[in-house]
Amino acid sequence: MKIKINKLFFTYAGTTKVVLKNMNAEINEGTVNVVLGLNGSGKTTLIRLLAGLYKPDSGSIIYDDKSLNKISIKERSKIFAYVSQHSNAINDILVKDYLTYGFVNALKFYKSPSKEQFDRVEKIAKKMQIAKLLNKNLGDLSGGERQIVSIAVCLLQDTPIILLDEPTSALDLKNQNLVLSLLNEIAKEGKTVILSSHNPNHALFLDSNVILLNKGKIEMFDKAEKVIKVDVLEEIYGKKLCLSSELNYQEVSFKK
Amino acid sequence: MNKKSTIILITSILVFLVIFVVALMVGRYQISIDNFFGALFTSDETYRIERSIIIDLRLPRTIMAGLAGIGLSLSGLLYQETFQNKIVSPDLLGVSTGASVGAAIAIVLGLSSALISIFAFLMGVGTVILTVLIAKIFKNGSSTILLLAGIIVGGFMASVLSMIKYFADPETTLASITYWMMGSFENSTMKQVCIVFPIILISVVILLTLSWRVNIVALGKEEAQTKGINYKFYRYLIICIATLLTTSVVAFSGTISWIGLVIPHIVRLMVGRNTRKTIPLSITFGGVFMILVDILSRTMTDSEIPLSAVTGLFGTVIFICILLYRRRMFDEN
Amino acid sequence: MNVIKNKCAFVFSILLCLGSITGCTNDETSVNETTVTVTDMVDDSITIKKNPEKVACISRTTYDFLVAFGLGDKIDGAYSGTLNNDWVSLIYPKSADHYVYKYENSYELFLSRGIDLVLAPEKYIADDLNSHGIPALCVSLYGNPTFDNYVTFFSQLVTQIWDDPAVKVKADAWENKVNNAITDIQSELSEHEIQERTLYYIRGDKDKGIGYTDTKGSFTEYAYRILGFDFIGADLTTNKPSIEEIIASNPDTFVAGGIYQNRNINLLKTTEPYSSLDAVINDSIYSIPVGFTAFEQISAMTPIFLYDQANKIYPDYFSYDINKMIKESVLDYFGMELTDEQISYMKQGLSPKGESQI
Repeated sequence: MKIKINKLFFTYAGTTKVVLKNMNAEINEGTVNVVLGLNGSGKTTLIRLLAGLYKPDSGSIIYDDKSLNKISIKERSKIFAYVSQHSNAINDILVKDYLTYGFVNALKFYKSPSKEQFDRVEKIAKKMQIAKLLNKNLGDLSGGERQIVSIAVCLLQDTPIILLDEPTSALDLKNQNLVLSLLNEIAKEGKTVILSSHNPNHALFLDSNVILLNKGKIEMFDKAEKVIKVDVLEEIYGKKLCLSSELNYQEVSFKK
Repeated sequence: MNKKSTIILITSILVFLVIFVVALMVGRYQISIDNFFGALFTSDETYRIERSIIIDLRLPRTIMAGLAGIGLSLSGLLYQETFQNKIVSPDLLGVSTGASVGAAIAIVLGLSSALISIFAFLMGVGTVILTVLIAKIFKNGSSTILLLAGIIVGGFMASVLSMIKYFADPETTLASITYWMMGSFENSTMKQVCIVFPIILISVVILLTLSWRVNIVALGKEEAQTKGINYKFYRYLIICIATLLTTSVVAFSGTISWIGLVIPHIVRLMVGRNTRKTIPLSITFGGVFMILVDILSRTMTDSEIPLSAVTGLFGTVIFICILLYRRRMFDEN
Repeated sequence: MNVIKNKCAFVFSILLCLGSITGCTNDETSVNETTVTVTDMVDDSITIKKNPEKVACISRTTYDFLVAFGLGDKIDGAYSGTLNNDWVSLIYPKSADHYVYKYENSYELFLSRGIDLVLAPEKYIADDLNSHGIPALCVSLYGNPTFDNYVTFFSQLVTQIWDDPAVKVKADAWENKVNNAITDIQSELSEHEIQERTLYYIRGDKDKGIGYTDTKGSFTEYAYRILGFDFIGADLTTNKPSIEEIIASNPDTFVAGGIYQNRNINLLKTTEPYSSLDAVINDSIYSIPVGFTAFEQISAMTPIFLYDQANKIYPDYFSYDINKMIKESVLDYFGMELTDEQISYMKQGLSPKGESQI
């Protein structure tokens, strides 16, 4: 089921600057899509619009040939799962309790998670190798662990699409690799992943499509190999851009 | 609910029942165990005074104390979760201060105690409505703005109260206002119980039903909404319930401080953050605490010590003990 | 030259004479402004001007005494609680001209009104005024430790402050009446073997219900001791005992004063657990008349208060003609002749028109 972004316009309330201008795109399922661009180009805005945290001024987002404009909060949460850039302020929930929050849209208002749901939590935790964290508090986790836990909640929410807003910006190199590898695997299992990133190289690491934003418009939307090129990115990032092979020092990275 | 929490809950329910009975047995007027059972289970005329003391005096006030403890602890917990701030109290949105203004106006006008309660109730609710409306002026729907509006309106009400107190006759009305504000269950009657009990009961039932969901609301707007909760609706529902809980207690018993702040902390210390566990425990712990406070306030001296004096002292001691206990746990780890 | 010198000497000596004459005259005027040093009720020595012309009666019963002893025209004003009384308006119409003071008043107010003496109810008020140059005496409502030695304190203080012999006559007459009343009652009671009983006084001057009484050191405690009672308020830590405390103390007798007396007596008889008390079942409940001042406060009516309570509590031993006494006293002290109907209203704690005062 494709996501179609149709003539989307968005301005923040109380400002006049149009952040997203006449945006159009089609995203296929089972793909990883990285939204790239400068700060203020509209990356986060696009992700949050998809998550339903903002409403577009005009235009629509269409999923499975249905417009999402009038959709209820609960319905939307069954399509999109969202991981915010900033970790939650709450530190003293147990990880295993936090993971069950992914089930909230599947439970009636008077119910709380059942034993089966707790079992699923354990399964996912084992799969993502975070089983040892289950009885710890969120606040006791490292940044990377916390991010993985957030992604685990999304998986438990069992949505076809997962949205992430700069998931690696606060992580060290090792954890960045961990999270990115995880996202790759999730996409292979059939979920559509859309994330924004500050680092174009991440798009290459992921087998992804790139949505390149410039001043609220989509400059280019193609496979990463075709977009992450000096002549394309120069327009946005500036003239000093070059490939790592052209450097006189060796950058370190992780193998796929 | 895991095993530890279940044990704590069952124990606390038992303690609640025991304390309730103890409260009926204890007081300035000494009633021996024989007389106690004689008064309650026979209709013998010799126990007439004892029966009257137990049923007309101690029973309504103990029930009111229990209800007050439940209402204030729950509303404190709800505010602390919804506003993601552990040091807020039920007076956050100005309920208690507003209710005090209502009561002060009624006292100055020389109205009956029933009308004083009605004025207090209406002003309490009105103050929260005012706070919410002021928060809406800022188009930002965040909790911080609500908090700020609460401080503004609460401060305004406090000033209004000061003005009323200034113009009140120091010999009569001022003393009455001050006494009302310090909180007391002395004048509790079964009629009042009949009004407060259903309000607290309905609120408790709603909250127990939603107890797990409150966890999600406590995550804040973004996370709650993206997980599928209509955050706005739940937040307003919680504010309504918390306001009703607080204002119905304050209208009949005056302002009682500390309990809304301290009990949620004690409960979290025992079972963690999960509201599925903390909501039921706040009910039992709050009820027990308040009944204990009432016992202390009416038995320690020959006159009634105002509740806020006892909760403040008792609560402060307990709070410091909690902090020291946590520190010791932390150091041990 | 000599003529000028002589003239200068003459002028100089005239000036000297004038100077000494004015000096002499100054001495005479300073003799007229006499002062007196008195000890107030909290044992402070204060020097005040004799025969003050403008007195502020903040302390509750001082107004009653000053008017009764013929010093009404020396009063500038009194505390609002004192003046806000239908009986005061009826018995002493001049009270309408008196300024209504609050409990605590600003210095500017007293100074602007030219007050030369303030009769304050508490030491801190008197101290504060004195340190700001406003003469103040503390006439407390409570004795230390009891009121025993203070019954005639104010009547004697009045004679120290004002020279008028008529005042002394009235004050002495009142003191005699009080002492006679005390002696009469005590001697009669000692002839019968009166068991000591306990008594609970329901103050009733404010809307505070039954749990509002007076403490040790009050005149009421002393008066009821004369009448053979152990005053329950004397052992309490505050004047607001809880309901259970009152029930536990199980008083043998209740007395109810103030404008709320009828309501309080009704409460006693109709609400549990009060209605189950022996005192209530035996109808050992007595009311206290309320007139210019509540009778149980030390005032011109104190002798009548003692006789009235003696009548009610010991009808077998005493039967004074209270109505006659009230009529005569009010006429004598305040120059007002009350009707029999009015007197009966006074005895029931009602207003001069027979209405409830609350």
